[in-house]
Amino acid sequence: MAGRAMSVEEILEVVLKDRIFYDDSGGGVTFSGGEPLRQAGFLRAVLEACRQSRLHTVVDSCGLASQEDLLSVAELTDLFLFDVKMMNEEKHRRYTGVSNRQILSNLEALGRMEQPIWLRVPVIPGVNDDAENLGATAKLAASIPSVERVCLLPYHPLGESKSRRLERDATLPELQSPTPGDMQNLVELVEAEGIAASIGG
Amino acid sequence: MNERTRRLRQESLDLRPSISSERAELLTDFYQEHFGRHSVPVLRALSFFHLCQNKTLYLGEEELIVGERGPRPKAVPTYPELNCHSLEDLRILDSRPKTSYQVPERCLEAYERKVIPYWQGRSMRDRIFADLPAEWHEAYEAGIYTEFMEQRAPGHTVLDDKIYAKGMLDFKKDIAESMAALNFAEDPRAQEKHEALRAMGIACDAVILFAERHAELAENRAAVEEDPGRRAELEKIGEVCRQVPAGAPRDFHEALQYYWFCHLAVITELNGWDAFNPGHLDQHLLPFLEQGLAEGSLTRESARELLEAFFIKFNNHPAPPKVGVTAAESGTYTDFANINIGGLLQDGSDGSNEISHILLDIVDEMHLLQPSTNVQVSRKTPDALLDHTLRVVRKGYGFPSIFNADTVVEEQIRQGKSLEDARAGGCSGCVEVGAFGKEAYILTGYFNLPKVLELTLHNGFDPKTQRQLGPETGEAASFADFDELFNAFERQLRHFVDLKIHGNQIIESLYARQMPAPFLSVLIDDCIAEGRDYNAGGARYNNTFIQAVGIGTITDSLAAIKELVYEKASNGLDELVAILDQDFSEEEPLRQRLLHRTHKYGNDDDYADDIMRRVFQSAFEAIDGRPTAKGGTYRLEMLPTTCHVYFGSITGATPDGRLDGQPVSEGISPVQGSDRSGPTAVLKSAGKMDHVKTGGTLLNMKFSPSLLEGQAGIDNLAHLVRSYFKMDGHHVQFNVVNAELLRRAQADPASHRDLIVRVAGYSDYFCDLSPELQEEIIARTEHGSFGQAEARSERAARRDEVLVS
Repeated sequence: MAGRAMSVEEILEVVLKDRIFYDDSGGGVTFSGGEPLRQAGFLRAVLEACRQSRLHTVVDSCGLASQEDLLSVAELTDLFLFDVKMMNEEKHRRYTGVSNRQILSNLEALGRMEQPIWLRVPVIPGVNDDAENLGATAKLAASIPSVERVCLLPYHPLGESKSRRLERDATLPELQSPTPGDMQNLVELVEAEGIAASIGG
Repeated sequence: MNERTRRLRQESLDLRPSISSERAELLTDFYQEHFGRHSVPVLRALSFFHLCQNKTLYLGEEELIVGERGPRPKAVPTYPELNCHSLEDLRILDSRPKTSYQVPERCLEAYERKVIPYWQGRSMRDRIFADLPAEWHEAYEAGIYTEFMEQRAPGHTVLDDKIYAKGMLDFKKDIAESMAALNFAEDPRAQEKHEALRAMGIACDAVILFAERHAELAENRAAVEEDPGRRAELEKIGEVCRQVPAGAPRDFHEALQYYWFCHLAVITELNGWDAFNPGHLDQHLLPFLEQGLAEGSLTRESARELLEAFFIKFNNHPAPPKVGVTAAESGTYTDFANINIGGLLQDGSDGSNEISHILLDIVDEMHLLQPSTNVQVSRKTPDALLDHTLRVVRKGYGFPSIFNADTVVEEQIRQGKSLEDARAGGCSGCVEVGAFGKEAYILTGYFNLPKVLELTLHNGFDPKTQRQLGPETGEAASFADFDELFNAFERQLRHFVDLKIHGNQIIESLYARQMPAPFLSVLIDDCIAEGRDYNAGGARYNNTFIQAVGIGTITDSLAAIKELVYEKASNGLDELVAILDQDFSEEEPLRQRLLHRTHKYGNDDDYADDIMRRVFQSAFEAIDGRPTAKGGTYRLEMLPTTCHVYFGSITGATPDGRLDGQPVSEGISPVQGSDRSGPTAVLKSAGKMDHVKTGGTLLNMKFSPSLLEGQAGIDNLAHLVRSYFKMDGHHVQFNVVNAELLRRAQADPASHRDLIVRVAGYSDYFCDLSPELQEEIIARTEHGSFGQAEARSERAARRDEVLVS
């Protein structure tokens, strides 16, 4: 697979090349993955360096990590993107292979801090796009003051070619992306619970 | 657009450009009778008067703004006193597949019988070529530089606000005062001034007469018009043409019609480059809009309709075709009139207003080929105007281009202009900076930087023409280090700049003496006050540009030589030159290494960018500050228009991996496809150039439409523009069409006739472009993300994909 080892300094050097653009746009750096919390120690070091350079930082996490790692990273982060794929523990286990208990408890802990959070839901037709799941997600989001919005991310089939290249069977065969109309309905469903929602983000 | 505008627009789009011999015939008649009887300026003014008095008028059925240069829309006159088309030229123009002009049999007949016999050997082009030294011709034929004035007169200027307060009768008073102040006893140039001023006075009368003829035509039409609505319009047109240009305009309609008469007069008098241009149209028209709305004589709708009619007039006027054309060549119908939107007022405050937005709406809705438009963005320009601009840009027609109004002022201050004149200035043509209404700023020719490197590598010898063109500055093997090579390059550069300037002296002097422009001189300060013609240095400011082309190609080439030859010593320079001479045959692995494993300009890589700055500084020092024949100053400009394709075609393989004949890089853009670190890196690299020392730079960027979706896409692009301008970037323009669509248009031109793309400092119909230029535009890197880090990961992902598949 692609990728190479880089030091904190090397990362900062690349990031700071675009400094003049961040100054104007208020933009900054997003750490995503994979799962950035898998390298929590290194991530803290990079975030620390970004903070010293007054760069805006975002961490995009699936939420499955030790609470200690999560909270120590969150302290250094300006905005957290936090995935909530499914509220139902049984379904969560069936589709992702793990329980969502740790994730939800992490979210609760994160919610007690002041950092703004965007909850992100990958909308997968027939899997988690039902009113029950999204309604429950929206209620949860609305109950945590630091959650600013719910981002609904329409499923896209770009992963299939990757699966083929990795000589795996596609896990979600013949699944279509939700239509813009479907997505708009879901936005309304979420917003009915009193929390802002957007498509993408 | 209302129904009428829609019809007028469609008519303008549907008409095929044609050539009219009327002007050539009238002029030849006049010269046959009058040549030798008057001083040159007066002869020119009287011949202009003769044209205004006798040319066929046109008043379209539904028109509100009136007047055409030819006998009907899109009929283009010729200028045999400047360059005389041969019968073969005319036949090729008629039959060539792209940008053709229909040539009526009558025109061929008139040329054969009357025009060619009189003008052959007498035209400016014939005289210029006869006077230029052999050495100049050899370098010109080798493609080291081009020459603008072999095809058209110097013009390259823009009007300021003076006509909105003064009529031609007022200008005549100024002329009379200037004449009265002449001191024949003390001033040895008094008689010269007298003749120049007399000519200007005659030119004012000619334009008044031209307008009165239109008034009469409109009044006659009104007398027999049955539809009362149209009758009222014709009566109004008659009134307008009686008022302007003799007197100052009293309302919005008169203001537009006045400018239009000035425009027609300037492009009838001579075929000056870049047609003519109203400059800050939104600023000039605002008082008339406000007054009309307050009085109730105007509504926003009627103001917009008049502006649309005005835009259609520009589109009715294709550029005059070149002479000495070849069948394979394609030109452009665009004549480079480039309306400025926004910018600054003379007092330094924001100059944008309600009309700025109306103009953007018109550009958006009409997307005509002409006029071009640009938005001048200063630190004070409201985000709302930039936002509106980018929404139009996103449509993908390439309009408008975007300029940094603060840098435009700074560039002019460096040239020694007053702050007020600089702020009232702006940009025209492609990217050229000028003090509107007060400056002759003349492009004289493109200059081929990569070709000069090619000659340096061959000790001054040109492998293409097999001639020793430059001085002997050392064999390739003889340079001990990179600096020695660079010094040799600088000597070659200086030699060819000297040669170019020598040629310009001859041409400028010829124009000053033989081809004055009395009407244009009325409009540009301080020609009247000085009693001196525009072409003889009468303008307040006179700057003459040489436009350097191929900075990307030469930078990457020198970076490759520096690294491979002088640092890694993996090839000798003589060895590399031998490989270039063979166009990399049998050396594809080396070529791939040069293409992909060396430092490239456009990636925010200081190794390459420092070389770019060094080349830029050398070109600047060779050109800037040197005196011109008419008392002006030479300046450097970084603009290619489409010349990078021609320059590439006569330049052999280059050390950056470019093959023999391929286009060189355009403007200050990186070599096509070599910017692989995303748009922010391109802007950072381009921002390292000292734009303030130029008279304009041109940067092209191409985005995939998906990147600019939604408000977020517009906001991101706006931040990109603002950030580039913080680095003193002069200009940026965007193509927002994906490669796939362009490929489809190539395969099926018939269904894509209306596809307009950004070429250089202008937009053009994609299907009218030469195949080479089409390929070149497709090859410009299409950016799919904004930042450097993202571009890196994207690239890694792509590489990954290539490896896996």
